[in-house]
Amino acid sequence: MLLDLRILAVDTVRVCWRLFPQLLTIYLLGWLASHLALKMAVIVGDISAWAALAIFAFSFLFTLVSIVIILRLCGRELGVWDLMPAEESVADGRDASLTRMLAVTLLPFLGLYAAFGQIDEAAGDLYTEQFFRNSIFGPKSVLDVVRAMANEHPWQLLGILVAIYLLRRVVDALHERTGIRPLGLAVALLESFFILVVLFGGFSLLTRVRFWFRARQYNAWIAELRDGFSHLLSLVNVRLPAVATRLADFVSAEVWPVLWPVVSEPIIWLAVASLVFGSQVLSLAELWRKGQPIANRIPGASKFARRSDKLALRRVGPPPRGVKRVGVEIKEAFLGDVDDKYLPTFHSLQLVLRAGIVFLGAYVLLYTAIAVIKNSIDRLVDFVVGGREVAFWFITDPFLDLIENVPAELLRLCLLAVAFRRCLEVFQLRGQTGAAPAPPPPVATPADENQPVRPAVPA
Amino acid sequence: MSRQVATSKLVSVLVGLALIVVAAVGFRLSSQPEGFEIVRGTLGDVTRYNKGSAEVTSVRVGTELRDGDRTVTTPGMFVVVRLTVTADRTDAVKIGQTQLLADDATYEHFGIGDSVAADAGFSTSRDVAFEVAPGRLTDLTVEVYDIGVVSGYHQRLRVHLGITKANAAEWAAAAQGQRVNFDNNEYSVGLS
Repeated sequence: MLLDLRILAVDTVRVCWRLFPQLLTIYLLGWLASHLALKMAVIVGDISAWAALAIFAFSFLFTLVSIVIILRLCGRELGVWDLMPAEESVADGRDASLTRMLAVTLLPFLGLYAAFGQIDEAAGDLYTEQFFRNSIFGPKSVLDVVRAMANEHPWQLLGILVAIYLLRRVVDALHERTGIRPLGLAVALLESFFILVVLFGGFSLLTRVRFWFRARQYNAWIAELRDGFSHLLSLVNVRLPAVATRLADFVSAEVWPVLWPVVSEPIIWLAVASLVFGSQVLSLAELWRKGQPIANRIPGASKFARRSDKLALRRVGPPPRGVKRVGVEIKEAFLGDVDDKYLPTFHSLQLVLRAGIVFLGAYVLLYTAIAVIKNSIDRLVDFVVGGREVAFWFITDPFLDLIENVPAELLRLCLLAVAFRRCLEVFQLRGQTGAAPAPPPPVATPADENQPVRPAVPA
Repeated sequence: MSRQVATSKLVSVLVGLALIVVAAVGFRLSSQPEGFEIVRGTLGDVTRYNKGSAEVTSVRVGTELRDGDRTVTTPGMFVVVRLTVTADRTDAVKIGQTQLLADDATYEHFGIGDSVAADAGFSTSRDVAFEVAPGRLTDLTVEVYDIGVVSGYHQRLRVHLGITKANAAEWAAAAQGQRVNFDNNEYSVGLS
């Protein structure tokens, strides 16, 4: 039962130890680039808040690039690709192109960062840096400018959001047609910028819309209906509302605050990591389970195919022309992302959840153990350095963060790669016991450094 | 056979859930409790605080507070202490926030002004008053610190005023009908 725990723990430490110099170098380069982008954003913020936000977007991009490279290094060391049949390699180019990889992973990555507070944290850093540079009497911070626009000129902000989105789609299309690499980077940057504007200003807009809806008459009707229903239940002596309220309170106050960071974060991270490994993992799992479906051999037939391939596969006859073509293009501009970015993340999540409760429990436990290590280092640093005035932290924080983050972050990324490989092994095992023959597991000896860390899938 | 499979599945689910529960408990226990370091001082003694030192002296209690020609009364009780900060090195020292912690309550300062600042080479003192409930005096402790718009892991100096569960009633009784003189000004002296 605890085999998963042992495999995950041992392989994580091993792969981290073996690749430590490379992983550390990449992590430090990412950290340096990210901090330089932040510093640049602060300086540029004196001139233009929007330009500062664009440069700030680079900060996340550099972090993601380092994470992607580290994950792929670990994946190679672990022989992740050896566990996939060659004919199942991804057709969307993410294996060959870093920019394509960024395009696929940036959206879920930033979503993940936003959900778990890292974007707020980075925005706080930007605010603090600007505050220290200009004092409270200096120019407005980047965040203040975007939020002010959301509150005072919501239509302008909406227009900016739509314009950025369309621009990104245009550059994306150009990149796909021409294959020019800088265009791919521009797409990633535009996407990052778009998401930051949404996070900093778009949510203020949403709040305004929500308040507007709340002030409508129909809300009073809904409230009356709800009260009437509660009254009806009280007449039949069913204390459902009280029970439901108590249950909702318990879940929101006790269960959710623990479950959200402890369970959701590792699982969603693993889903995003599986995107980095670029496999058609779900179709692969299906392949092992059901045999070799022909759908996996046809471009656009798998769940991970690009939307353009899927549409090409579905379309009968020549492509639409004229006004109809414009309509299709506009529809594509808004729906393309759903298929190309959200659905692969969703499918990856499905894959991870299918790996089994014992595997998930072991993985969550180790992921949390790494978080505990990070918290402990954090405490140790605070204990050693002691309480200080804010000016001290302003200067030393980036370096102290490094001390706190390097061991935990490298271990965490190694664990993600190891867990993903274990996921594949679990599906492979199920396939072996099921209908179809599975590809042979990689075999290595301790002397063979180029092979995966662990020799074979234990029975 | 199917019974064995069902049992095995049940055990798997239980093991998985147990691992998640252990993770949740570990995470909860390891989370950072407070973003500050507590520095303990003694009433009447100088204690190192930030880049200088601080001292809490002269505890007075009463039900009337006299500030110049103004007098304020309370149905509870006033506790007044004198705070002194000393900047004996090259940097200024400041106390920006002051509060009084009891066993089962936290009291904010009474009236305007609770900050004390000393420039380098100076020592500055001022009175700070608190309005407290006579029934909630156990372990009254003055807490001083300084956080601005942004802050990091900072120091909080805590000085116990000597009021314990055993003598709290005596302090409350002693305050009844007493007038306490309160000086809202800051006084600085240069260090020799």
